[in-house]
Amino acid sequence: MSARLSISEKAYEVMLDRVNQTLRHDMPGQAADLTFTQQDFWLQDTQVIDRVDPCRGQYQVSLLFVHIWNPLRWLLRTIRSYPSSLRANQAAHFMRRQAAKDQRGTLYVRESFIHLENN
Amino acid sequence: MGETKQNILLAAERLFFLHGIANVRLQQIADEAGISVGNLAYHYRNKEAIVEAVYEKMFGDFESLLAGYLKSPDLRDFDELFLACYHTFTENAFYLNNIWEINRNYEELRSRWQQFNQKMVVQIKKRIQFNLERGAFSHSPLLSQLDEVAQNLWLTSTFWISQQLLLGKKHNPTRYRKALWSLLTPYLTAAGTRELELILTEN
Repeated sequence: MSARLSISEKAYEVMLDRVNQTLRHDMPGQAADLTFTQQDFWLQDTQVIDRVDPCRGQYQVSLLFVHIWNPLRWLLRTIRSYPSSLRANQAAHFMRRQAAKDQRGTLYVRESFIHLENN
Repeated sequence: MGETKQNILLAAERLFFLHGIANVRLQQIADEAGISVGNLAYHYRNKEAIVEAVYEKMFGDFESLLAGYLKSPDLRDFDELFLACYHTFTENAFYLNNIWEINRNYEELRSRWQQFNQKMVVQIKKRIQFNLERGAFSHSPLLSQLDEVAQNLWLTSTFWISQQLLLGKKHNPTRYRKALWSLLTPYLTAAGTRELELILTEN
């Protein structure tokens, strides 16, 4: 009988651990994995407002997404900070244009859309 | 492999199963295969060569068992393993009848059998771990007994058929699988139980 390659039990365990990991990570995608696209669908009809706020010695850029038909539905996301206000404002301007569906800014929230009862 | 060689090996397997390796002579193997001893000696120079060839074939089957690791990344993999084990051990039943003979006199075969055993126990353990991480098994009781559960599964899968033969009972894949699943079902979670039910009804 020919000499055979053999590996230690420990090495074999490590090898199978890697197989297990690969199988866990390389699972085919499920339809449910893409539900977030439907959940976030409302973000397409939002006005994007850029904000620059001083925070911890820097200028922090955030984007505020406000739904145009229901302004009470909004999302605020902090993007990053810059050391100078000029750079922060410039970055915020381009970030807003990147994020907005309509780059010219025709989607906007009107005060009248907020249905407040005065009585 | 030529037809005559195959016939010799099949005849040897049958005789080893019925009488044990130590009690079988070349003449008996030749008679069983329907050839002359001279012809037998042309293909295999002695009984040891036949034993090695028979076991080589069996180890080939064992390699196929090992190669089936996690082909299905769920509990179906266990079920497929159980079925494959059943067929392998049914086809190679002669081995279990000669386990002590091999252990005493065939050092290399013994060491290969041990290696296969070790690998299989490790594979079962890793299969359990994989399903633990998937949430098919519950962690609390199983993690502390992982080695023992893997060992017991392997023991049952190997010796269950011999035990049934000793008891004079007939065996079939359904009872074999049931015996092995009974060792795992106490550790299944609700999701694992549902998955198993689905698998068993499919088959």
